[in-house]
Amino acid sequence: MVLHPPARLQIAAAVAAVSEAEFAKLRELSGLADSVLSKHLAALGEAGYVKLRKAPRDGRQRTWVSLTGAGRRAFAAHLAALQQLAASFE
Amino acid sequence: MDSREAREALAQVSATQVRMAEVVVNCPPWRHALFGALFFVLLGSITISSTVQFASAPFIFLAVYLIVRSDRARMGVFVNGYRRGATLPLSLIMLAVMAGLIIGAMELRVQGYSPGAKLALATAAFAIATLFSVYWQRIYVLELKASSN
Repeated sequence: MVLHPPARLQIAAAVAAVSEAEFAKLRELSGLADSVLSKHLAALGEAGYVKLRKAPRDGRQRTWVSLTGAGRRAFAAHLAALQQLAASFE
Repeated sequence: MDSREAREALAQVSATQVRMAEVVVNCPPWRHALFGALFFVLLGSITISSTVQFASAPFIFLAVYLIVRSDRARMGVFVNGYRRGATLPLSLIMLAVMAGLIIGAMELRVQGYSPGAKLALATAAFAIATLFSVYWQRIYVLELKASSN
């Protein structure tokens, strides 16, 4: 159920497509406000689905986000469930 | 959740992955050529001598570090070349081809082949690695975009 909210599913979809994504890029892709994105990332982190890493660039700390193995499995399972649900009522 | 909501969620996932593909597709030609140049230096140095080979190693590692840093700064994402997915077979083929070329480069060195032959092998490595980079990116983008179909 962690991935059920549309914003979290969108974040997981973006990070699943790459090895690591910067916070700013996720904000740009999702259209979410900083605080909302941070809240969703914290929830995904608590579930063990994402890993956050701080790294300096141009004198500022940047946050990089990656999916954990559990996160990738949960995302794949969630997609499979959605596909099943979408297909079953067609 | 009903089937309509499930379809909407799937459409949102697809749209996000297509937008991510659009980020990665903006890879300039020099980036592909730079990847090829790394292999030109690596293979070329192996054909010359073990001293040149080991002396060039730190520069190759530094170049890899700078390329990764540049990719991260330019795109805001990092994609591992050995990620699982449609690109993995191509990455493994590239690994095998380069291993073959490395053996060939060592043979050229040991047998004392002409500089022309050594240059030809290094140039072949450049061309193969550059083409690999171009095709790898195409396959990756197609894979992400296929999720929207």
